[in-house]
Parts: sequence; structure tokens; C-alpha cells
Amino acid sequence: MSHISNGQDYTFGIKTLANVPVSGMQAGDTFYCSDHFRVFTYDGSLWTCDDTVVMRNRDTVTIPQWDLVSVQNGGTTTEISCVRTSVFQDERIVGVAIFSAAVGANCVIAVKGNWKVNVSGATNLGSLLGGSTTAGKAVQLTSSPYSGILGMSTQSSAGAATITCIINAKKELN
Amino acid sequence: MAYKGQSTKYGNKTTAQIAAGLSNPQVGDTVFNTDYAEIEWYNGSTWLSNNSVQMTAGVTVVEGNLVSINTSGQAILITSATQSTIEKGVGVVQYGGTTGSIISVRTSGVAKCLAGGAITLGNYAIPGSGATAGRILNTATPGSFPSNGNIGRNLQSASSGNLTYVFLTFLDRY
Repeated sequence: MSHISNGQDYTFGIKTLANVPVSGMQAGDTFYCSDHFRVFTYDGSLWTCDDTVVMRNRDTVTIPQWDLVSVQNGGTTTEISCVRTSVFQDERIVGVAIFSAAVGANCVIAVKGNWKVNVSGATNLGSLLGGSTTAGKAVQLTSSPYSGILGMSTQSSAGAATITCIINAKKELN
Repeated sequence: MAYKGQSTKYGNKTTAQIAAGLSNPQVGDTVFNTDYAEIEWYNGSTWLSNNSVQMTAGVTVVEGNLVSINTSGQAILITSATQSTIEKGVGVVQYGGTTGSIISVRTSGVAKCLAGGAITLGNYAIPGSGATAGRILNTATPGSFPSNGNIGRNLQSASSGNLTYVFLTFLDRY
């Protein structure tokens, strides 16, 4: 098994997130994600990177890629669970699902870095983003005081869309 | 397979050495940044670690500048500690550039910030204004946001004009 060395031998080389390896992986394998600028590591069941956390999808539907998720009010003593956010400026947001996740499956969630997010409507460049009342979708925030900020848009949209964004590393500090 | 030290392509380098240019970097190439004890990866335009993001410069920025995001989705200097400027604060420039260039901005962990005045170890770092726009000043007490928005804690003392380590704690709720 190759590893990062003087020849930068990632196991699966350089991939975009859309072309993440889906077979033949072993725990510890790596690839460089060229469109989100992170090294991914396979943990035996999921591809994750330093920008991500893993939570269980306890929503009633599959969480689509790039949907905004928040901590579920339930969960168990052995499970941290998430659902799509549907609260405006939800203060319980965690981040964005970077892969779709079926009900009951683990969801890989980006909590910082250069990623994407699904927005519910028109979005301007450089806007603060937070939860909306549309399940799983972010919305640009226009009126202070703000709370539940995900990050900022680095792409605009004329309506509901998937846009690039910077997800803030820190949230909800007083 | 044997594993040895300096297993990155370009070995151990300081931020200044990396910024001066490494020979023919390719996407996925690696270097160990000794200022931060982190591996950085070349994404085709700039060097990033797990604590930084890529942005486009809206003005000329240099290492240590505090930046926020403008309405064009670009990085500009944070010019004061007021709500309207710091609410879109992103982080601290690590690899800067002229307007329109791709830059690297540290958003978490530790960052080297440009001192706008004498900096005291342990004090809070706040954005400067006017002649010290894009730089940090310090205060002994945390103050009340947004009139005195803190961006982190000083990890060392420094003189004006020098780079100094700050532990970043950007605020996004007020």
C-alpha cells in the first residue's frame, strides 16, 4: 500500500469529490480531493477529512448532498444524530452533508473549509448564510442581529441552487 | 514500506520560503510548514492546510492581514472592530497576493497576524482601523462585542509591524 511520501503517493491519486473511489478501499487509504483541497482518508466505511464530522441521519428522508444539517433533539447515548435544518437562523446547525446519506446511515458533514451548500433562494456573493425554513436549505441572512451563521457565499444564484461557500470554523461564540 | 522523516515532496519549509516559490509545484504536492507544524498541499493556485481556505483577493493583501469577504465574494482588509466589518470576517492571510489573485486564508487554530501596535502576550487581539487596518491591536480585557470585537488571544508579545502568533476565535454571534 502506498502512502504520502516524497512522491506524494496517495492511494487513489487525485480525485474530484464526484469521482470518490467506491470500491477496493482499505482503512487508511487516501486521495487528494482537487475541488475541495483536502486529503481524504478511508476509515473502513467512510471517506472523511479534517473538515468533517460524522453523524447518523435520523431524518425521515435521505439527506441530499450539500444539504444543511443540524443536531437532532433525540439521539442516544451511543449515537450523535442529525436532521436537515428547517429553522431560520438555526443555532443548532452543524454543517453541510458532503455525500448523500440514507435514513439511518452515517452522514459525513463539513464543518469548515471551502465547500458547497444548497440554498433556498436567490443569494448574493459574500452573503452570510444560515438555516432557512426550507428543509435542508441555507438562506442568505440580511438583517442583524445574526445567529446560527454557517459561513459566507462565494458564488451567487438567481434562485434555489447549489453554491460554493466558505464554512466558518467557529460558530456561536459570545 | 519504511517510513522516514521529511516525507513531503518539498520537505520542511517556512511560510516565507514557501511564499518565495517552490520549484514547479503540481496539484497534490506536499510541504511541511515549520511555522505551523502542518502539512500543506498545493491546489494548483496556492498552498493550503487543514486550517486554511482559498479566496480571491479583492485588494492587495500580505501575510498577517485580517480579512473579511466583500459583496464580490473577495477578501478585503478588516478595517475596524465594528459590527458591519467584522461580521463577515474570514481569517488571516497566510499566502497573500495582488487583486484578483488566489490567496490562502487561515480560519482556525493559530495564525501569524501583523501587529498594528505593541502586542502583549495573553491579551486579546482586536482589529485595527485607519492606519492599522488589516492588522491587530491588543486589549487587556475581552470587551463587549461589537464595539470591541475580539478575534483571538495573543500567544506572544511583539512590536508594531511584526508578525505575531494569535489563537483565532472569530466571533459570529452578537
